[in-house]
Amino acid sequence: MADRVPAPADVSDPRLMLLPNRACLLSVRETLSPARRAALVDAERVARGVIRKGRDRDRAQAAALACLWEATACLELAANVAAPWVDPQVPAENGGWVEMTRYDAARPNRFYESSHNWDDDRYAVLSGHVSVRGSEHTLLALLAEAGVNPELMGAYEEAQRATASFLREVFLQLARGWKQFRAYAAAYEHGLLFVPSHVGDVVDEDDNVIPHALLVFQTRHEGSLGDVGDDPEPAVQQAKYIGELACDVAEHVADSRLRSVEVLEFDGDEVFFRPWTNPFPYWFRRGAVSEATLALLEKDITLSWIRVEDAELEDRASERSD
Amino acid sequence: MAGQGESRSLRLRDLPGYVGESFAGGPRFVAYCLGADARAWCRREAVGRAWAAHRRAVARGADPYPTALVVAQRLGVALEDLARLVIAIGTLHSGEDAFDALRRASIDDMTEIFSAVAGDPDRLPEKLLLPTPQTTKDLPDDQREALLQAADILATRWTAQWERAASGWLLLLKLAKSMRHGAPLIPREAIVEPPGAGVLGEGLEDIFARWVLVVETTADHKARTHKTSYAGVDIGDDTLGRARQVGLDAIALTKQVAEAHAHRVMTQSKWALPRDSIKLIPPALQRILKEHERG
Repeated sequence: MADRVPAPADVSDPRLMLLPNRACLLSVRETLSPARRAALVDAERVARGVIRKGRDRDRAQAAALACLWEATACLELAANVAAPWVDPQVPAENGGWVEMTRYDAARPNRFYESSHNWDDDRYAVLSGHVSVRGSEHTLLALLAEAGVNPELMGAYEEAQRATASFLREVFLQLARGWKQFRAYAAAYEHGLLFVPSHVGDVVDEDDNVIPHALLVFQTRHEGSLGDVGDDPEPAVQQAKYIGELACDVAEHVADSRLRSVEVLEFDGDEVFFRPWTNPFPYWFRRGAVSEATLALLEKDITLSWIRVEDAELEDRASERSD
Repeated sequence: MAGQGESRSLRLRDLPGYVGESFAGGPRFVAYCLGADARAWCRREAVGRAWAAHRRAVARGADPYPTALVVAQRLGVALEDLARLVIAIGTLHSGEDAFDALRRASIDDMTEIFSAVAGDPDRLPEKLLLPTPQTTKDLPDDQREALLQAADILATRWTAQWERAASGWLLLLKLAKSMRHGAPLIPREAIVEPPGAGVLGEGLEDIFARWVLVVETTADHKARTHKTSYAGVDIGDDTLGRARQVGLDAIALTKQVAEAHAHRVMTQSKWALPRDSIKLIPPALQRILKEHERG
């Protein structure tokens, strides 16, 4: 078996699709997601410190809003990296990078608010198990065609179901977080529109003051928005959890997509296939698949390629020996 | 966490009744300006921490791109505050609600205000409600002289801060918007080192030590076509260091302008000047201003 084999001659021009996709996905996995995580951790640490000191309610509000804003940016990152495959809006002949680099203000709303209606095939797109929404090209079919043994194929099928089921749970939480945080994030970003505590209250219809830890003017609507309760710390903790989960999703999507690109080796103008290690991405909680399946998935599996001419020579050799 | 229910409403309290008049800009705008100190603290600290994290990353030889981009994003957001505030102040005396102008300003509006005021710095005192020769005609000569001298010192400082903010706006806006919406920002190495990024970045000169490729695609849905443009944006330490100063200047200017407006309204004064500018005029003139000080 060869270390690498030339890619088939009909592989499309890598300059148009493969390389731009690779660069965009790498930027998500290696630059943007680490940036978002670092900023989120920083904002959460500061918000909790200011809240616990309890000396300045306005600073506490501003710092808490900063944390909610960071979480929302993580949510947008996950939506932007996944949407090209899950929710493509432009003809995708050139690949996901075209969609990823197009600003679409409605994308995250559409993405999160529709996620509870997605079927398992659509969740499978997030992990690269299905190439794009509505496509018949699946990773399982490709691996079956490549001759992967039935036992391993069974483990991959189980892993695909468990991953879709896990992502469905994750998206319920992300969608809830998006709905909770987005208006606060907009208020933070577009002017830091908190209502100073010494001049603003939330009151009920009888003019009774209702304790509110976060009170902002909304950016688009006439009203204001308040976080019920005396303590903004739970909102900050929730924002950190949601933001980190969103970064996990962004990295999972980027990593799943990069696996099939990283099998390619570019050498000058030529493209080769390298051995493909652990080709099947998965993500689920322990216990979601059987121990036997998990043991199979955790083995390092490497698929090597055989040149057509090598295969023909082997066939001829075996014919001769018969 | 819950949104505003129908039975709940915001009540602004402890504001004088006349905040609804057009010189004040409305109760929400005055309330907004009263939050200037906490707002400036939040923006300044966020930039400061991001910058410190970036310097640490560079010093230990870690990947500098993530931290550099966080610095740039936080700076871009701080610049937006300044543009929104000055747009809102521009509506005073017009009958328009200043707070609505502030919160509804578009990116184009903000780009226009940065450019317009930077292109005509003589108008900055009027735009930021400083005393001018035209608006002080009715004052006694000694008061007028004192006020105009202090205003002149302030205008020089504010003009320099504004010009720096305007010069950094477009670059920081692009980075902040991309970071906020999760758009790819591709580090230099992924473009110039094999295998490269294909058509993305083709033709760009590799003239900075650290830069990211900002990519924007627009789609024509009817024609089913799309168009992509890209630019290399320098985020090297020199540029980022200058941008940081731009951002800190903008935060300081935003705070002073907002606090001056809140003070003007709450004390029913025609003008409000930060104390440090008054300290820079001759003592005799300082005494005159102190005699007429309110609040």
